[in-house]
Parts: sequence; C-alpha cells; structure tokens
Amino acid sequence: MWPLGLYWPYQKNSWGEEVSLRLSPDVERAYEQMKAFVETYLQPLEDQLPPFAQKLAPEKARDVRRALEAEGLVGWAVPKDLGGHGLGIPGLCAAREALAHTTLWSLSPVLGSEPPILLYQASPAQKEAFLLPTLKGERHGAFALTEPEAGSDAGSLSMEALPVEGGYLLTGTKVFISFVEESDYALVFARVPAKGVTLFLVDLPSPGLEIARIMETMGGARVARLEFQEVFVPTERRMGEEGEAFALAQHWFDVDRIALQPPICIGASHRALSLAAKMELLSDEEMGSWTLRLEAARALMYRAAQEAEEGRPVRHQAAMVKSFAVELALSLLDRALDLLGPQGYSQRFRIERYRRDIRRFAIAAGTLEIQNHIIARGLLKGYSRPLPGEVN
Amino acid sequence: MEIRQAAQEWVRRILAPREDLRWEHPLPEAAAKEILALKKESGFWALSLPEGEGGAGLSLEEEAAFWEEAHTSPLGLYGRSLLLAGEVPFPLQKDLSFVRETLKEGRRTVTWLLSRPFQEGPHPVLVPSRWDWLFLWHPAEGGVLLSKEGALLGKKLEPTMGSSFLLELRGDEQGDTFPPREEGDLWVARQQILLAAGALGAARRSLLESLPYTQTRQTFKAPLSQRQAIQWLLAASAKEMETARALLGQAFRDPLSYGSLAKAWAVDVALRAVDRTIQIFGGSGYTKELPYEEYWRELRLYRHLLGDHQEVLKALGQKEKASLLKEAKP
Repeated sequence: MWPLGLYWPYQKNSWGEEVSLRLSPDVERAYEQMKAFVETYLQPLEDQLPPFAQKLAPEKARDVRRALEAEGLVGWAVPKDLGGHGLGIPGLCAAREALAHTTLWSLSPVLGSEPPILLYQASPAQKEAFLLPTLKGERHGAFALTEPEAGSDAGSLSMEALPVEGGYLLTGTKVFISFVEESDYALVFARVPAKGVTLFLVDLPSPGLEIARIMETMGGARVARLEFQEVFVPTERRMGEEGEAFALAQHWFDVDRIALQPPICIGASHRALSLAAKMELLSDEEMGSWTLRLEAARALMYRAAQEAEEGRPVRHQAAMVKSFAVELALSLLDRALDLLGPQGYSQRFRIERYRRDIRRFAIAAGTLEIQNHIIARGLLKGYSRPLPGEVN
Repeated sequence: MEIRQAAQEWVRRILAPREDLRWEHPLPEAAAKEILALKKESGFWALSLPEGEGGAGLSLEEEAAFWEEAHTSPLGLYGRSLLLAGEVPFPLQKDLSFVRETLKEGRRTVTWLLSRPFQEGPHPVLVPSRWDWLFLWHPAEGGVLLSKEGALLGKKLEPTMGSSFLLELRGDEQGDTFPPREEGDLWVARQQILLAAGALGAARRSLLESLPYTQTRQTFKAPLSQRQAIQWLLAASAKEMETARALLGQAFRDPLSYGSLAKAWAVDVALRAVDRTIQIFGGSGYTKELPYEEYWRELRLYRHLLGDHQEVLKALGQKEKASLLKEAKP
C-alpha cells in the first residue's frame, strides 16, 4: 500500500481560513514586528560585526538585549505562563525568518532568549537553575554532542560518565561546540557504562573541564574543543534517566531541524532577492523561479512547524525542510555572488557573509547527507505519516 | 476522505485492468466510450457542478483528490481526455443547454489560458486526443468558446511527443464570447490546482513503485536500495513532492494567488520525480513496458497547459520584484 503520508493536504477545512503561508495572524504579526526591529535597529549595526565572529562589543550587545526586551520581542516560542509569547514552533520560525534579514542573526543576546525546548523536560529544580535564567537572558547554554570520532553517527560517542557516589565523572573530548565563550553551562551527552548515552547539565567552567581550543571557521561561528578529565557532575544535574538521552532529545533535534536553520535560510534568501530586485540583477523569469522555490520552502517549513507544534512526529518532514531550505539558500546566495561579481566577493553587500555563515548548516545539526539518509530510510521502511487526528 | 477511497477504488476497478490500452493512441472509440460510461455510472461526472444541477458537487479538495488518484494510471492523464469528459467550465455553468449536453453526452471542453488577447493571434494551443469544445480564457479580455468544427476549420492537428495535438488558432475564429470575470480566473486557478494534484499522483506512483524495485534488484551482491546513489534519488523526489504538497495546501486556501505557483512547482517536481524513476529502473524504465516514460512525455505538456511555465515565472517575478522594491527602504 502507498504510505499515508503522501496523501496530505486534502483534508477538508482542516487548515482554517487563513491565507498567509505563516498560517496564523499572530505568527504573521510576530514576523512583521521582528522584521521592523531588524531593519531599524539591527541592520545599522551590521558594520560593527567582525568578519569572523558573531559578536558585538559587550555594551552594544547589552543594548540589543535591552531593546529587544523593551519591544517585547523575546521568547516567541516560550509558553505564556513563563512570560513568553506562546506562539510555539511556527512563532519561532517566523521570528527567525525575520531575524535572518540581518547578518547579526546569530548574535547570542538574540538567540539566548529561546532555550532549547529540551529544557522544558527538565526537573523542577533544573528548570529553576537553568531554564528560567536562560529565559531572562542571564544564562546561556552550549550543546555538546559531537566528538572527534562521532559526528553524523552521534550514537557511537565515547565520552564516559562513570557513576560515583553522589554523581558521575565525565571523561572524554567534545569538538565543534558553538557558543562556548558566551555560555555558562552545557548540555553534555555521555555514556554511562552498561546503561547508555545520558544527558547532563554541566556548569562552565567546571573543575577538570578545559576549553582546549577555540577554532575560527569560514563563517562567524567559533567552535570549541572541550577536554573533560573526570569532571564531577552531581546526580541532580542528570536529565532524565540513564541511557535516555536520545529518547529525550529526539523531538528537540527534529524541531531544531525545522525552526533553527530553515528560517534563517529563507530569510537570507529573501534578503538576497531584495538586493537583486533593487540592483536589477535578475530577469523576471529568474526572479520568478527563485521566488517559486522560496515559497515552496516556506510552505513546507510552516506546515511542518505546525505539525510539530501539534505534537505529531515530524522526523522525516524535518529532514526534508532542512535539506530543501539549506540547498536553496546556498544555491541562491551563490547565484547572487556570481551576479554581483567582484563587488559580491567584497564585504559591501554582505551576501558573502551570509554565504559563509550558511555553509555551516549543510554540516551542523545533521549533514545534508544524513537528512537524505533519514528520508530514504523512511521511504524504504514504508514509513507513513499519520493524517491529522490519527496516531502514528 | 471518502472521495479519495472511492477514487482509488475507481482506478483499481476501471483503469488498472485496462492499463494496456495506454499503448493505443488515441484510445479506441469503443474502449473510450466504455470507460466514460463507467465514469458516469460511478458518479465521477460534472465534479464541481452543484448536486442540485446534476453534478457531483465536490469541493475543490475533493476534486483534486480525484484527479490525483486518476493520475496514478496513465489513462487518467490530461492528454487522454478522460478527466475532461462531463466537466463544465465554470463560466459556462449558467448556460443550461451547454450543461445539459455536457452531462448527457460527456462533452469534453478544453480550457486554454491565453497569454495575449484572442484577436492578437496566432495562438499555439495543445489539445488532448479527444475533445469537443475549446474554451479560451484571457484574464483581462474574457473568454471565447469555440466548437471543434469552428476551431479546426481550414487547419490540421499536428502530432506531439504525447497523446495531445498542436492546433494553431489564428485569432479570427468565430465563437461565443464571455466578459472578463473573477469566476473565470477562479476556474483557471481551479484547473491549475487539479493539474498540480494530478502531477503529484503520477509522481507518487512513480516514486512508490520504485521502492520495492530498489529493494529486490541486486547489483554487486547487494540491493539497489543500499546504494546511497539510489537513496539520494528517492530522497530528492520525496522531499520535493512534500514541498509541492505544502504549496498545494496553500493554493486550496488561496487559489487565485497560489494556483499557478502550485501548478508550476508540482509539475516540475513530478517531471523530476518521474525522470528519477526512469533512471532507477534503467533500461526498463526507458521502454514503454513500464508507464514512466509515458508519464514524462505526457506531464511535459502540463508545463504549457493553463499558464505556460515561462509566463507564470515571468508574472511571478514581476510581482515579486514590485513587492520587494516596495518593502525595501528608500
């Protein structure tokens, strides 16, 4: 039989009456508000962004954070009872799509206010110590999964978490960890012998934990190599049960593949097309062709975001959103660079900056090859996505 | 959706057993008549016409679901005319004698979108293998309805790579005219959406039938499905089809803005998906033993049907440029 997942979107009246691709007026408004802020406040700061870093001078960064808070532009996906807008994953996508209209999109004061959704699954004490201060912009978390011998194949990681009295001793190496300099804690994946991969909340710094190296990249991201030598982590800093890390984190990984990189790709592509229109770089037909692909990416992203928000499994769709959006942005930015010629290669139009930054998405948080693998494996296993209202 | 199941059943019972007929161009008269009679009998007749007026009264989503399912057989492709029979273009639905004839005889009315006013011919038009009337629509100028005899007078049909024919209208043919109206544009948008859904039906069959083949066909002592070169082809098709479905969903909500986009994208996605399936099946895929080469040849027509692809992109590009310039700060 043909997989069910290939049958949507025909359900009658299941989508309501809205016309916006962003699916709801509130989410549309989030996009407009954020975009206005980006244009008036962030774009003028772009000249202050160093070519190989994603930060501003500390006082400027504080100003940005204050301005965001003053305008009520933080915590889009944060539930209302925690002081956020409660717009869920579609809201986060919209805010980030707007944010991508500046090369400052990955500035930590902006990002910091949207903690990994994984933290909502933490224990009450952990929420008090990590989630709430993160929401206020007082703490920042890094995410430490990748190891020298475990990248795409994350399940083969070898960092050890040895149970001892009152906690664990973590030993091993983590690499390509972003935002270590800005963070004061990290979500660390480590293997408890005979139990499996387990998730820990580790303070930065901690005794025995060394930032062995900070590496610059071709974009603004700076990534760290962390050496753990018997770093003690108390039991109450373990998230979930032993061996539960991937079960806890899987939904988060899926949501991230929809809401972290794709909106940036879509917003950056939109900005590149704006520039192309202003400078009359493209024929009408080529403009139409890119617009069509961009609209297809948008339609899929917001649809997937909505499904994720409703709690439906989105693993395969997330892989599709990510790989489609990243490939689109990279090829569109390349085209814009070509058309701008030597000026495009220069820093004048910032397309080069976007292109360098977004190149990371084809590698980080699941390579494009892994996304293809997930999609193909799903198809070959006869994966079927449930219709709304059905259980997978 | 009940219509989906009924349509699947219809394809399984009526079209699938007759799939060998796809080698015949055009379909033999007797076979075409038999299929049409069965179509009518099953209630898939005048799909968008309200029930009170003798139609099936389907919503756009339901009609699209039928088109998608019908396209899982090559007999359901546009060039075969089966889907056109018994359908009344929206601006003609008030013409009761036209409606009556259509319902009774299974009249086939081809809708063609003009890129310039009718009088400013010539217009190269692609018509399917069997047709009775030609309804030409220009958003600003309105419509012209030509009978087959009137349209063909002094001309001949030229064969194409598929089952359709090329007809060059001069622009001086005589027919009934209709003023420009939004309902005419809506009819075109509706048809674009149906074509998008149909293209996805063909793409779906092509992709899904390649799956078991990749799992059983052995090369170098392993199934094709274990080769990443093959997995990538499957993933690319699935991913693009999902984006096309997302855009189709948007077109259901806003047909006038998104109908042409959904069609342009879905048709391109389907052409690529079918092409990948031909590649996966290799030599067999290239032959007429399997339906995929026909899918490709027939779907290629959809790029010109109801909004020539280049015209759609051009119009979209102009609109987007204007909107981007408006939103850009001075």
